[in-house]
Amino acid sequence: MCRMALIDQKLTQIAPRTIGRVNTLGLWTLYSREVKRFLNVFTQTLMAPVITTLLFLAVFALALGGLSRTVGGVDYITFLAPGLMMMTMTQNSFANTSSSILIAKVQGNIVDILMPPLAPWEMALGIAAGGITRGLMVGLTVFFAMMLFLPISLAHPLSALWFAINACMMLALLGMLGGIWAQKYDHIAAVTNFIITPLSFLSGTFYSIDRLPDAWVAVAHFNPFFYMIDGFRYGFIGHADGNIIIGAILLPVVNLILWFVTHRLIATGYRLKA
Amino acid sequence: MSDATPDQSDKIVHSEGVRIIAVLRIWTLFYRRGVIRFMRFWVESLLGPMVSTMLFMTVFTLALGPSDEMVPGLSALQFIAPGLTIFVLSQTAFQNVCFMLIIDKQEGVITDVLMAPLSPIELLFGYSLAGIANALLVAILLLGAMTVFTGPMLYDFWVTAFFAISAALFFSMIGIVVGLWSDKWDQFSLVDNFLVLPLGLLSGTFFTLNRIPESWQWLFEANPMFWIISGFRYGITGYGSTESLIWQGGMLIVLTLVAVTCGWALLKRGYKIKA
Repeated sequence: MCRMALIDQKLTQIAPRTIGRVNTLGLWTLYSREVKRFLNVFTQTLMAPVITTLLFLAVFALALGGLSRTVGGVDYITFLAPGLMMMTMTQNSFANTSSSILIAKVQGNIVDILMPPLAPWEMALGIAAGGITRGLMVGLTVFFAMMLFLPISLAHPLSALWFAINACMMLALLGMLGGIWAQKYDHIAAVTNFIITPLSFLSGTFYSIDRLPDAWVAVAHFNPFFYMIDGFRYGFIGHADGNIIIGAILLPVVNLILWFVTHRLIATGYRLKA
Repeated sequence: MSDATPDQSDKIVHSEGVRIIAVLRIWTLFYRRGVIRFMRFWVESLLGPMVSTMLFMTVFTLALGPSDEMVPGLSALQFIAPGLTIFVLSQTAFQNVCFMLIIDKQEGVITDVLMAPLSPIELLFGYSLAGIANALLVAILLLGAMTVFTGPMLYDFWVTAFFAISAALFFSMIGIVVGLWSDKWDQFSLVDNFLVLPLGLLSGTFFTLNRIPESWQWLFEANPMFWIISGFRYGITGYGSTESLIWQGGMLIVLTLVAVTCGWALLKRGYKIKA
């Protein structure tokens, strides 16, 4: 009897691990993989964007600030700093998820993510969270670096945080869609060059939107980047070009839609599974 | 002559037509590999830099307002346009050559190139000419497109051409050196992000030197990109002094010669490409 009990116990020990409603271990593993992936090359993924952003700030401040120009009631450089921060954050969130999926597809190690018992939503969440983490880390580093040179103050920290997280999530999800859709590096480079960069450049990072001709102001209001940057900047300087409430609601709604699409694509295995 | 094989006749043709063949070799590497490659990827190699530069111009127009004068007689946009053009030209020359070399090394295609009867100097120009061609093409297209913002400008064609070609040559040589040195993309992006980009942005593309505190000005004046941009801007707009033009041009020639020698020496040694 004693023997039997021992064997029984051993059998339960080597039984397949049961997974609850959420595969927490799997999700955590995927997330840490995503984070380690970009931390491994932190000079490219953290330092390079920080340096580039500071250079942009210096260049624009030198080129435009000398005229003691004010925008929206603050110094031009104070106006510019949050916009640049947001631009870098979004670009990095997008770059992280898109490159992660695309490289995995090209190298073939996407099966390592598809094979484990991860539900489509867990896979989407793990990868998206990696992108959001990179965006926020870059943003935070730029923030501290800028504090060395500029008197940066936060008028509404919670607003800044809300817009930062939502913006990073949107771009992380867009990056996933891009990474799933793309089959070559060219494709994702084209999306970055011709969609993401123009949208973020022409969003009011560098100028107040009332600089635009009237017809274009309406167009600018259809650019989600405008709401991200405007809302984020509101968190810093307490002044917004557009309606802050619209942005605060619009971004999560867009995120929900994007989340739904991403989830569908992963669930159906579009361009991921043979 | 014991080995009167069919090879013999080939050798005779070779020695007779050696001059034509030398040109043919460079042409093959330059045109068949380089130019066809960048024309095939014209969306990235031509359209990409053009779109981002035009975006910059748009952003500056909106941020500055069209009436701002950067220096007497030149609007801010007219001041920035040549600087941006030559900066994009330099970056394109560097990136194109670097990309070609690194991809060839990673895919192992480099052995095909090394096996071919090409001398180091032919290799050097075979690889760099395509980058130079790509860079000059981008610059010409950009100057054309920028007339939308600035109106047509050209002050001195020869000065413009000299600085454009020297810059393309210099940066394609940097591309050769960095491309040979890089085992992975990390090294390439290290140089791109922490050397080429800062040199280009902190060079007077977007502002005049008198915006800088006097104690820092020497730092900008020591930047080769500053010489290139000042010279090119003189050629396009006539802004600047001929005196500084001469020493900037002279320094650029010296530097380019040094870079060519470095590239040639590395290829001759087969640095990181031959066992």
